[in-house]
Amino acid sequence: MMLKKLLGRNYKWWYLVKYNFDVNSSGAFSLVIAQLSIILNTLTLTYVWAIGQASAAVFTYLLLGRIYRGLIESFGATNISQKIITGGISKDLILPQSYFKIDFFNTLGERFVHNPINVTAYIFAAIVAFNTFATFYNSDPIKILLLILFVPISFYIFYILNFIFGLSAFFFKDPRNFNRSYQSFIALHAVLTGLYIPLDKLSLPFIENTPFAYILHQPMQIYLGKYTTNQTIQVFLGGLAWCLVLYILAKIVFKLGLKKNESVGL
Amino acid sequence: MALTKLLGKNYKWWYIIWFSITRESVGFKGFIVYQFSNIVRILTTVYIWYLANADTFTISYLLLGQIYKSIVENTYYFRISDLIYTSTISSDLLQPKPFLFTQFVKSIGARIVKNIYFVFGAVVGVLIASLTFAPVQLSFANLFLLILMVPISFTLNFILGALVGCIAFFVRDRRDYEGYRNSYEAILFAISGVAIPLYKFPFWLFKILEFLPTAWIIHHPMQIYLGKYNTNQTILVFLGGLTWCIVLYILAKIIFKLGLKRNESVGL
Repeated sequence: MMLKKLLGRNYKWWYLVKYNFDVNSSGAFSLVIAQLSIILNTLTLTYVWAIGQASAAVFTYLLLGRIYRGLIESFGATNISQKIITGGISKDLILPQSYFKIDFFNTLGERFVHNPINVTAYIFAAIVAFNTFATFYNSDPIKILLLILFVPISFYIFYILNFIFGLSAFFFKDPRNFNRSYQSFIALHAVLTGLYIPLDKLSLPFIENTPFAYILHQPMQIYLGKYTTNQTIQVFLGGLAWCLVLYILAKIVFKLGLKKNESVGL
Repeated sequence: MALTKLLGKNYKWWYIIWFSITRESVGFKGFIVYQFSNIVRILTTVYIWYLANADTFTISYLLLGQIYKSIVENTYYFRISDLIYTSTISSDLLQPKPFLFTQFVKSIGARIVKNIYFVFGAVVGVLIASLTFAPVQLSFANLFLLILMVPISFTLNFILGALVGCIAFFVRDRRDYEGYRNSYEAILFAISGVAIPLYKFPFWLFKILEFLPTAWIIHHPMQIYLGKYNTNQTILVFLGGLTWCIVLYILAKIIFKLGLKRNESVGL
């Protein structure tokens, strides 16, 4: 109010300076606020298990699983679909590098910023939960090392599954249809990875062999000591095999989509 | 034409509803596919409760609560924040109609189509759950009371959305606003009864939560439907809902005015 009186009708210039300062320094605050929703969602969903008096292994699977997933998550489908829908992909295709490599390394750089922030929120939620209603399952420290070794596999599977879904934008005419389908994919993805319910509780054995299981379920099973050495090696090999299969699938879908677009000159 | 004559100068309200319905009817395919996520969400939430050995009452509360939530769904904060950030609110304010009420009428039209899709998704989800692992306790005795609660829950959802959307007046960057919106959605998810019936919280917390306006979105309607309240309590719930509508409407008007003043004071 003082400043308003002092500057009179010139206050608007001060306001514009202040306004632009705020606009350009923001985004950071939104990330902090957004973490509150991550914490609250995690606590709400885990509290349901507390009501059902779940075991320490279940709580650890869910809470540590979220931290692990926070570390490897990447939702690149929106980026690639945007490029396809707006035609911006043409610019990337002109570059003398593989489009797959460009997108992967772009995602990697982007996630180096976002993932640690999300992980902090998940860690905070886990600390709150473990200190109030949940119990922690202490495992062998060597399992943590195995978990870290699994990170690149989970990251790549998470990334490539999203990439493949993003490529489906080649086949959608309306961006709204893509966006809503993507919401469904995210919901299904969360269930199939074991984000809400440990997959071994679903009594559907095949579900543990889908690529989604290598994003959260299999690493958590390794951490909880559910596998013997041989089984652990098999899980690692299975993860690598899925990486390869999904990479080939992504290449095929990409070619098919591109062909569909080119055939009508779009 | 007959309707124009019949409604006279109030025809504009009907026209607003009809216009919003038509506008929201596009993107049909996407919405049908989107319902798949709705179904998955319902099944997942209820399956966790099933694994937690929940009783039929809790399962019914959660499943029927999902259908009820789909009927009264109103994410108005998307619309109002968009109007504020794109400054298109100015053209709405030029019209000689009360802004919030006009927006409310528009949101009725906008939600009719969307909520029908949501109800369809919720009903499919509930049917799958109840026919496989989670039987639902159906009661037609209190269905009429539940229907009477719909306008209250819908209005509360709208006003709460308007209050959240008005944050856009005070937060200059849209990304920052998104953070507030996400937090509101997470709070609503935690304390409206959509994931956890409020009576499952510690008693002291339950006593606080059941008096908040968010309890009128799912919790109280479900308690009425499942016959947990006697006649006096039901009347009190209805009166409480109406009181919250009035109080929050007044609050929304005040905050809207404050926000508008803040925007207008420097002519931006």
